Amino acid sequence: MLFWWVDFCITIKNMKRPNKNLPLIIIGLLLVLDIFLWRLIIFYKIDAPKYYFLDVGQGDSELIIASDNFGNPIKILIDGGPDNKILTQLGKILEPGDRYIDLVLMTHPQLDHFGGFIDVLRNYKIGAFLGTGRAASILAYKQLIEIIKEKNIPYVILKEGDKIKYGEVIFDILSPNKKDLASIELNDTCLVTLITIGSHRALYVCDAGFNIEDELISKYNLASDILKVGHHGSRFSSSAKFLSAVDPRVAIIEVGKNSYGHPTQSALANLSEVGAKIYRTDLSGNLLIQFENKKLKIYQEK
Amino acid sequence: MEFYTFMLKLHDAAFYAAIFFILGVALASLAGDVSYKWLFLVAGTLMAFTFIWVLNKNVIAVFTLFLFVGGAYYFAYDFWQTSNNLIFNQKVLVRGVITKVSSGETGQQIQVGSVRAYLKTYPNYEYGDLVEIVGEIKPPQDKAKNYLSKEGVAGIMIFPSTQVLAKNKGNFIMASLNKLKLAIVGNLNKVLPQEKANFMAGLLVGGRSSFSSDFRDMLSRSGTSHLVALSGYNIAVLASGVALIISYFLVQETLVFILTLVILILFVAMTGAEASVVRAALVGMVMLLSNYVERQYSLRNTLSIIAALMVLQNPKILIFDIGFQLSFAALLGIIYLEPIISKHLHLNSKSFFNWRKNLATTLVAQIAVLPIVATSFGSISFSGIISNVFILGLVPITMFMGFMAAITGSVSYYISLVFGLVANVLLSYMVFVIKIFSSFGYLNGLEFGFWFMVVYYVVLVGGFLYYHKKYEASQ
Repeated sequence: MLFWWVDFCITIKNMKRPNKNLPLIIIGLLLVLDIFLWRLIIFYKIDAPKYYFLDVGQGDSELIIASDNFGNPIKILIDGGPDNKILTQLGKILEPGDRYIDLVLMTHPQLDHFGGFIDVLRNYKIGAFLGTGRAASILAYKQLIEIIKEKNIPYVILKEGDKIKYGEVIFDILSPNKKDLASIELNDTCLVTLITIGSHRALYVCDAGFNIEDELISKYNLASDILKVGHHGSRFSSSAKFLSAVDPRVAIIEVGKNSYGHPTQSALANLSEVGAKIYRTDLSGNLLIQFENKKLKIYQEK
Repeated sequence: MEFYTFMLKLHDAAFYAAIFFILGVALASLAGDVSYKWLFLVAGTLMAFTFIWVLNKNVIAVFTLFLFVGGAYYFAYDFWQTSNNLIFNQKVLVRGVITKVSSGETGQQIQVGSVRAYLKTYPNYEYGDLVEIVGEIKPPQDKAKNYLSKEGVAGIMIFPSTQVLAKNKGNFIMASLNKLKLAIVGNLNKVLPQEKANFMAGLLVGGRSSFSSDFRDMLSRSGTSHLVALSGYNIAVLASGVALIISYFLVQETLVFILTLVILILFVAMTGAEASVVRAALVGMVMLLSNYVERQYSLRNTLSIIAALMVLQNPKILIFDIGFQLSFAALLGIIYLEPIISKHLHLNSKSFFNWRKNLATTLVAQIAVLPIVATSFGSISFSGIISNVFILGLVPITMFMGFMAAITGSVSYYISLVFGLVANVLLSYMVFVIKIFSSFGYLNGLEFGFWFMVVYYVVLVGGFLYYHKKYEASQ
């Protein structure tokens, strides 16, 4: 280290002379930039919709990237996990320099679902923040709301029956209704989303319990290709009746190290009963599901 | 003749005083909870005195008194630190201003007075927040005890309930520097993917608490952890950059020097004045100063005095701060062993991205720190010798790009992005190298005792002295 200091003093004296390599360095820099930009242009293509399930430890976070008919992409982030691990995962998926997420959806105000949003909102531009409007008393929630206000992000309140359309992409909100939203059980106030893109359907069951599942069965056609399993595979969700109504081809459990015993044997048994292929983010890392030529393909990180 | 041996020059006197002072602190730290520890100290001092007197019969023996002073100082410091008025294992309310925050991937730690609280990631607390913490204070246990006492922590609280009463109650300068640090990290996060942003922040302002455990593991396996520990190397790169920029605007060397110095001091404060940063900066300043006033000085004296000053500031770092030991060992290795290694392996000549020099430097640094790493972490990284050669040469340009991205980020996102993209390419390369070299050449689960360290260093120093004797004889 001392020698570096000697170096340093000598270098300063030397550097006062014009550096012959400077033009070369600048050209090099511009070249790097050029390659980066051309790469984007040459390899640009309209991708099949991507369903990401992010490994954020014990918590939920899912990212959907789809395009309209002209290839303009839309990015929707459902939940943000408990902490800033989500930034690492987003950094792996999104292009460097891509710092825009169209919609951020918080299913319900529990830390393992919104905690990571605090840092997402700090570091990404957000089109709109979607939620149920129900508040939580924990301090982290207050910080989240402060940031939403500070960044002037519109907060849109969603409830059962609401619909978001973007080209072929349709978001249907199946729950909660007014009654559910007032529930003492915070998990039952969460936003259940059905995403339809073309002929493919994906159902995102936040942390909803049995009674919400029963309500959904009685009201909707739930048949889906992909199921985000409810409540990290807890014993209060994923009834056999509900799963047979959804009849998913793949079921994703968003889970990490926990003391609740997630995912439980009962949930796992019910899932295999309906013939769903089960993937877990704690075992597979980030998961990507894509339909390529009508075939369902799953990419695991680990 | 007799007269001259009794005449010590002032800088020699300072050297011996410093060395014996440090020895005294070491002895006292190792004594730990030994009963009759004062007796132990007196005995140690007397032994050293007798030994030197019999061997050399000169005035150096007098300086063994500093051994006693060092030991006594350590005991006094320890007594003062542990005599706190904390009430343990009871629900209590702690109110105070946060003096330190470190946030990791899955949680954050805040320090209030001599209490450290472990909290969840959110909400984030900031330096200078006046907080009220309610919970039980536990005394630190076993392994963590020495480390925490070095950090001035007497009690810990696990997930207490915490409330912010007021903001911005800290020292104004420290608060501003903290804001600056957060802005730098924030700007990097906006233009770089998370992992690389953290890595870049590590290069620029140090700290790896925000790294994922996987990445931290890879760094230590590939022997590259020092890159993000803000070693003297990073500071040297930074300081030369600063001085270069200033010298474009100012012609007068005195002014350039003073400004660089001021910026360095502010920088050290910004990074939280970690021991390693202070040390690296101190060495640099003395170096710069001596260059400037063009007066002779000796590396040996400078180093010993710096070490003594740092130990004086906090005597616990000597034995309980591995970082302190690692950087001094590495520094000594680079000063004394690098010339020898470079000469015999022919690594002196100019090379592509200085790879020869970098190879020599990492080689001697590894040799010098090996027993400390092996005994305290139970691991040795052989691949580190090569991985550093592939990385070190690119560190300055990478740091420059990161620095530019960080400062331009406050002006324009797009300018910052350009620097960020280039930095991204360089960082990708570094991460790639780190990943490759983390997969081999790594021994884990080793168990070496204290005596391994002693024997290793005796052999190393003995070998060095023998070499010098031989070399001087052949001259």
